[in-house]
Amino acid sequence: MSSAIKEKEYQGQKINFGTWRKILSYAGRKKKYIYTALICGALTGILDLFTSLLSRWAIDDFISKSSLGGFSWFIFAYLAVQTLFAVFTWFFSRACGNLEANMTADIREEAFSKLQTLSFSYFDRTSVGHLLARMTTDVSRTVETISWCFIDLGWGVMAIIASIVGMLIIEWKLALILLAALPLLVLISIAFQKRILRFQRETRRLNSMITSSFNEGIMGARTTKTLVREKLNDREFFVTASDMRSASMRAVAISALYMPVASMVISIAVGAVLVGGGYNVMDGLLTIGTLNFFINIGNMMFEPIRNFTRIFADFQSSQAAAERVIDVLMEEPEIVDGDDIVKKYGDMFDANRENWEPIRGDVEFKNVSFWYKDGEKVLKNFNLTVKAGENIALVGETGSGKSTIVNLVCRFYEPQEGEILIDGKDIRSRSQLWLQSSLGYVLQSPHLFSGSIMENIRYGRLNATDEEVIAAAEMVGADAFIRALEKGYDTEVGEGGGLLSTGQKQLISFARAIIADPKIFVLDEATSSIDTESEVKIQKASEALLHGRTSFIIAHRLSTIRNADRILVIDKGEILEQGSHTELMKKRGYYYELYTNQFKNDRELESLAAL
Amino acid sequence: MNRMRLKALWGYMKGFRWMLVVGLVLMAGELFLSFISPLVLSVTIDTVLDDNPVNVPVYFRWFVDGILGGDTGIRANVERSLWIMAIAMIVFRLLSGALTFSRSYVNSMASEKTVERVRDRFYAHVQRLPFQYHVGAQTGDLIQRATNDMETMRRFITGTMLEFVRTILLFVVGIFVMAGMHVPLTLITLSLAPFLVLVSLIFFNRIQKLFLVLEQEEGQMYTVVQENLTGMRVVRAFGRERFELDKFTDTNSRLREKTVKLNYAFANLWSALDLVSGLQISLVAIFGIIYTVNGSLSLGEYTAFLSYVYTFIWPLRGFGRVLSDFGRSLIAVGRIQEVLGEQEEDPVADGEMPPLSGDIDFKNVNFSYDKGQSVLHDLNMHIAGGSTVAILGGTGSGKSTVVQLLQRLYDIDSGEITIGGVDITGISKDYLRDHIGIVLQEPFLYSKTIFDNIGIKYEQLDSERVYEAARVAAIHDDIESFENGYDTVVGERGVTLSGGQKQRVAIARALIGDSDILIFDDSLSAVDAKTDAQIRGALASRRKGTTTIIISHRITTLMEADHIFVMKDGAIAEEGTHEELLALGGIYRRTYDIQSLTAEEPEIERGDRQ
Repeated sequence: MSSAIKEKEYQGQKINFGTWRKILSYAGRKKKYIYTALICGALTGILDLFTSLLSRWAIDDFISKSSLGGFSWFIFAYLAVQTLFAVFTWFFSRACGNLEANMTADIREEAFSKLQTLSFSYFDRTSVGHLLARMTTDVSRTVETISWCFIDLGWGVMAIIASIVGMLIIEWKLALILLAALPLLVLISIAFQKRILRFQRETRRLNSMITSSFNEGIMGARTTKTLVREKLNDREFFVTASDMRSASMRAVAISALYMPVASMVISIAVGAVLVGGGYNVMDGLLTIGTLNFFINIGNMMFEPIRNFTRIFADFQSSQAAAERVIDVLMEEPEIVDGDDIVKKYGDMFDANRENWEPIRGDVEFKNVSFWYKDGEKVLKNFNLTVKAGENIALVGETGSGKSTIVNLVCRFYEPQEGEILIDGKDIRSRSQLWLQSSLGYVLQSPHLFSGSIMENIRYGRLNATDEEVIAAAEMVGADAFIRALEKGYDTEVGEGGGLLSTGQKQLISFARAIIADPKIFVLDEATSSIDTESEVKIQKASEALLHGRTSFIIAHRLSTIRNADRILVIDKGEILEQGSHTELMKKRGYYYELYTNQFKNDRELESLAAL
Repeated sequence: MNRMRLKALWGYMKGFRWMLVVGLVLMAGELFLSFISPLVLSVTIDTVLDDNPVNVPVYFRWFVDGILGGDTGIRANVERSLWIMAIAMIVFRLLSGALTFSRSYVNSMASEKTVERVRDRFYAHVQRLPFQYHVGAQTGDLIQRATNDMETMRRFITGTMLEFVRTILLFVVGIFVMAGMHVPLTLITLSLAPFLVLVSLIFFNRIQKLFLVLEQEEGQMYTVVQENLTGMRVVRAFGRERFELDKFTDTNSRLREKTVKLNYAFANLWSALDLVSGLQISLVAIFGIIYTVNGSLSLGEYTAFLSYVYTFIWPLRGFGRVLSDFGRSLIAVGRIQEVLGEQEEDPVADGEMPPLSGDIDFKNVNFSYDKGQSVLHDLNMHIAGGSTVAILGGTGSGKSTVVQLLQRLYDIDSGEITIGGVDITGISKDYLRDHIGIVLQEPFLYSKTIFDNIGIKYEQLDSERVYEAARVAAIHDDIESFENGYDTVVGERGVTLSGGQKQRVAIARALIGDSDILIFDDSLSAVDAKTDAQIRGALASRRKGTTTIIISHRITTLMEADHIFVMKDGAIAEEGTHEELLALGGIYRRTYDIQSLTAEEPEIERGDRQ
């Protein structure tokens, strides 16, 4: 099945406050950090005003009067203000840092446990790479934006309020001159931020293109060599790299222009203050300290505005990441155990094992119809009864529905029509965990977890002793190769089992399945990539393993399934034929065709080749 | 070591170095302006608004004398002077803005051009490294170098390096300007600078260590999530959700702990820096007032010094980071250098270009990877031009090696490989590879459309040729069934093809080249027997004089070949036609028996064969 897996595209231009509110709800428990950050920020804004007031005091009371009377008070105040800056910095950094770390961890934990409960259909349409990005960079990006915004917010608001109030009280006329520049600054900032953001987006887009070009150039280097495509690849890459340079230059230019333009506006306002205030000073209406105070405030006024536009831009550019995070958190699993079932059997994480009925392994499909999302019907009115302990083999072409049947038995999907009974009761009347704890499942590409071989086999039953693990390995004939390894059972298998060969991984995943002592066994093309001689060995082992368990085997190679109690030939979601190997061979039907087709006589093939 | 790296970096900048020099000149001007701008206010306060004589450094004197007409000029028309000063303030700001803008533009141009050059060189170089290199290379690490290290290098050139130079210039210019005004206060202004640098340096080294630990923890968390997601079926099938959640919570809470620790370290750093800076500002403010009251400093100069102290403190606060980034950046440069220093393979650019449709001969070929265990020993093989041969052999028997040697992806230790009598070592590699189509065991598809993937060797291609190749590879109908047909993009952001579909696209890609020699390295393993036969049938009908080599485990795939080789331990163990090999009763026969089950079920098999 080749499903179209597409990454959802988000055209986030506007800030969606709903999304951020949801993200913020994860900070609920951490409210004290938010308050600390806001308050520290606000106090820092007030301190900024104090610094300017102190200079005014220094000029008017000491310098202009040429006296140091009460200077120790000044020294004390000055040092106190400067120390308080450091103290507030310490508090808000810790608060924001704590908020960031905790929110990140909380959201990740919630997302992870949500992922554990989501249905297979979700994983069919969402690639691992994208989910991984959501769990890592998207979460950290989102949380970083939101957790550090509080300090800037607190500071920015207070710095503006404090300086406006301070100025108005001291000399409202001069204050108005400076305040006249404020709206202009805001407009300029917004206009620039918009462009800066756009150019940054463009460079980020090109940057990720470059990253994937490198990715491809390196991963595909061997293929490129065999195809002699180096020069064409170069040419394509050089174009991207040069686009990247131009885009970066545009981004640099626009950002480099922002500050000078804004500071021009400020210096015009300050120049006006200097002239207007200067006349007043000459007329003796204003002290030099006060004039200096206004010039100071004017020069600082721009910072909070720049800060606001930056916060705004941050939110805008992390909007997409935030939406992706929320998407995972809000996703609802398609297969859900009802409340009363959870009450009796427990949920996905905590089982009430004392209430679990032992499983026998009878499986029945009753008028089952099933289709994947937006797909054609895979099963139509499908009926099948399997007695506990029976070994069933499924044969058929790719896309005939074999894997779907076993996936339904495992309740990885649920049928849209009809019902599936396990031990005579609807599969949906018990919890997913109840069934899945009794499954043995071996896949074509067996997935191992990083850790030792011992740990990997034990994954099937967590409380298995070392001896039991070894016994399981012996049963599947894996013991010999494991012991031959330098570290034996303690050998690390590497990420995804990458340090072992496919055959070895397959054997270990067999052992892992068998140690679980499952009542229902599923082998989905479990031996397809193993060479013929090794396959015979595995086959011998599995015969003993499958004895007394209900089992479903899917295989391409017919030699693998000949010993099954019953072989089902599946075509277009229906059972075409069924019976034992001998019965089906005698019947000379589809199975016979399929079986003998593999070995048509040589002459026939030659004539085909000569066509 | 570091000198070599810096030298390498300097080398990459060839042709753009003048921009750096221009940038430096502009930067010096910018700094100079930032020191004389406060003098405008200073003169205004002292001489325009008050009655003190003009007291400015020589280089500012011209301004006061030339434009304001000196002390007398100022006194003569105070109001005019006030206006001039306000305009001067704006003009200075404009000038410094222009300098800042052009400086950052020129500098960025230099660094972006350098980075582009290194990127291009890296990309082109990596593609031309020997096949052997890529087999052994850790792709993750290589990609890291191409992206992360490259980014670090970029930041080094635009940020770290310039910041370094800027800070030094700042000191030179600053001391020059300030000392002209008041020497003791100059010393006080700079008194805590060493502490500021020291504090930030010490903290940064500590933080760097915490960063490393954090990165490791992050890597572990990453692994747990990735393995969980890729192994979701296993997790579900064993009902291990609780176990997985516990595993995650464990690594997640360690990560949380380490993040908090790092953020606390940052809190300490920032507040320590604030404290030292605050102390430095206080010292200047306090002593400045004392000197002014004493009369050795004017009020205007006092305000100028107060703004100088801020000019100094900001870059100094970050200087510790600059220093500690310096080392890291050079490591990144070194890692890029390391790859660029690897020997590229020799393209035999002026080699021969003989027809490749002749007989292929392996004569006493010995080969080992990296001078290690011998893979092929004394291998002899004769493949008639235009024939179809098949190779069977266990894992590690050397069959893939044989076909890869033909494209000269590796070089042999001894012996000789000839095509049509010409030793392949004398043939241009591009020519050789261009005319030998090989479908690798694990084909790589580019993240382009399927159409572009099939026609990947060509820039322009007739669509009919692409469709025809796809039909022969039995993938045309599959492609047509996709929503976007041939325009479907392959890969992460597009459609995920099944293993069999990927292989067939790779086959189509190889077919389109009309190669003289076609090699299928176990390329049909993921398609079912029926499709396999269909592809081979279609192939047979279109190859005219193409030598075809097929590697497979499947007897049905092998048995139609003109000649079959069975490899074992790096040499030919058996060879002949299907019938000959069956009669021989060796490896081939055994494999045949197992696959056809004749050994266990003679009746049915015989009945069938009648």
